[in-house]
Amino acid sequence: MQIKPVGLTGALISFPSVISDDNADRIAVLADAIVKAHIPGMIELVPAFASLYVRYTPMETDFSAVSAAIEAVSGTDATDMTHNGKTVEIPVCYGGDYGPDLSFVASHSGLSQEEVIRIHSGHPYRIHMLGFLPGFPYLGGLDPRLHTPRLASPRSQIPAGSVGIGGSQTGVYPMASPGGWQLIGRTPRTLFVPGRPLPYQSGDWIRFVPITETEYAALEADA
Amino acid sequence: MSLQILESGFLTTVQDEGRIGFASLGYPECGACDTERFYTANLLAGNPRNAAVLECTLLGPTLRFQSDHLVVVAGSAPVCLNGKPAPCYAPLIVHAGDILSIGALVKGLRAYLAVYGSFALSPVFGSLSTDLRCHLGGFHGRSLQKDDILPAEGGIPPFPDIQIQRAMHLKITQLHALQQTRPHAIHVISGPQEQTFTEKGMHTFVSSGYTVLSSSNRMALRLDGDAIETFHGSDILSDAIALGSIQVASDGQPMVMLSDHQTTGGYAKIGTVIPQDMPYLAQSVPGDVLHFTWIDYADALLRYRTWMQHFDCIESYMKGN
Repeated sequence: MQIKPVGLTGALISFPSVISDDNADRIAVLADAIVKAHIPGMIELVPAFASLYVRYTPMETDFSAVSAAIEAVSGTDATDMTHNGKTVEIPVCYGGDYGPDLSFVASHSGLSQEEVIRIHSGHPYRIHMLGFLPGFPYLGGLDPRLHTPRLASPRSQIPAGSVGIGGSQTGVYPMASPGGWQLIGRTPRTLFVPGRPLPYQSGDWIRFVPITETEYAALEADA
Repeated sequence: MSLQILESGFLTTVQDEGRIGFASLGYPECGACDTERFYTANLLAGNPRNAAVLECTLLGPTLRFQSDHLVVVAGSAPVCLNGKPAPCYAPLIVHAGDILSIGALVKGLRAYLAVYGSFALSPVFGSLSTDLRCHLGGFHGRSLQKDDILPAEGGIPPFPDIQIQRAMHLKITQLHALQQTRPHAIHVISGPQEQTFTEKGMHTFVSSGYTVLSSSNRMALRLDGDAIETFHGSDILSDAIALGSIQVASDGQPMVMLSDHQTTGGYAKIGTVIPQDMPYLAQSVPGDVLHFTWIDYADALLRYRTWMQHFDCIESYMKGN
């Protein structure tokens, strides 16, 4: 663990530069400890794959005070802690109009579409960070068989709720956006409402649950 | 009470200090790009310094007031009230039916219009700032358009003449002092990924001039100059981005993150521009050549606190303390 200043307003706590559950656990535990410590002048924490960013106001504190406070609470060993991240289920209608690139992902992987769906929805994914757009989760743990290159040219508009694969990553677009990921399905669930809490946060888990088009329509009508 | 937009200008948005504290959810902060003129416009108008204002870009809007107000324009723009020239950095009393126009900026890129009492809009996570990319906040999450009716609070404060006198006096004292703080080079605190760059690359960054590109926007100031050398490229595992962070793209060119920057990014950051130099960047126009220089943390902090005291002085003077 290394702490470095980011301009006058931030401290970046760095961990080994890998995407791993170990990092995610350590970052989640440290973030909890920092929040509980109520460091004077602290504004917010931004977790990422291998780092935790601490933002403060330089009118009230400075880097040395903030980094000393972080050091003071960083002794907690992640392996001693139960990480309390929750698992959020996201219903997904795979393929068809909702997942126009499912067939490409299948042919690229040499698997059937059913196998792609089974593998993709087969286990929960850790949320390592949110970024790019409000509520956009960066997920770890996509099965290597499903790694698929991004589109050669991005789509100008991807519908909200689209579930995609980009390289070694998978995720869900919480709002309509341009994007270059291979779209394999879509959720009828509204994930993002401006100014409202999100259904998940960094450190939680997302599990994609396959649903039929009929179920999609019913859930969409309920929303 | 409201303002009718007769002409929108080039890009006119409602902005305050930004949507602060929601980066972990992926919400860009947004907010006024030039904090110096943003604070000044508000304080001269008798508002808290972080009240929502209109940020005008390149060419300001033309507005018709549907009620009486006190307004202040901060920036280098020609201002006309009912067709007659009116001063910037001065409280203007406007009446129902009056038309205020803010012309093309003479110098810089952005001007600010503060209305005493600010605007009557619904905050998103405590902020009225417009987030253009996510279509939220401000006025329906977008820039103002012709025929919009922007609801405002306010009216005219109790002693407008005293407020005008005080503002006129400030114009030649405090505001002059602020102008003196303009840097010849933009001050940067190095890191947090300075080890990505070779010694030569670090030197290139502070010894070359970088030209502002026309592809710059509220998200980032894109620059073109001598490529900054790295050891093994500039890709990193994405981490948090701060206002003023300087990401170096794969082609070795730096980009300075402005108010609408994404919350996270995957390029190494060579350094971070100090907050008090950000207004200078917010006012730079395509073709301007920027120079950067390193500053150490302690020196930057001292200068920052001194800079912020200017606004405290303006605030207490306007309040008659």
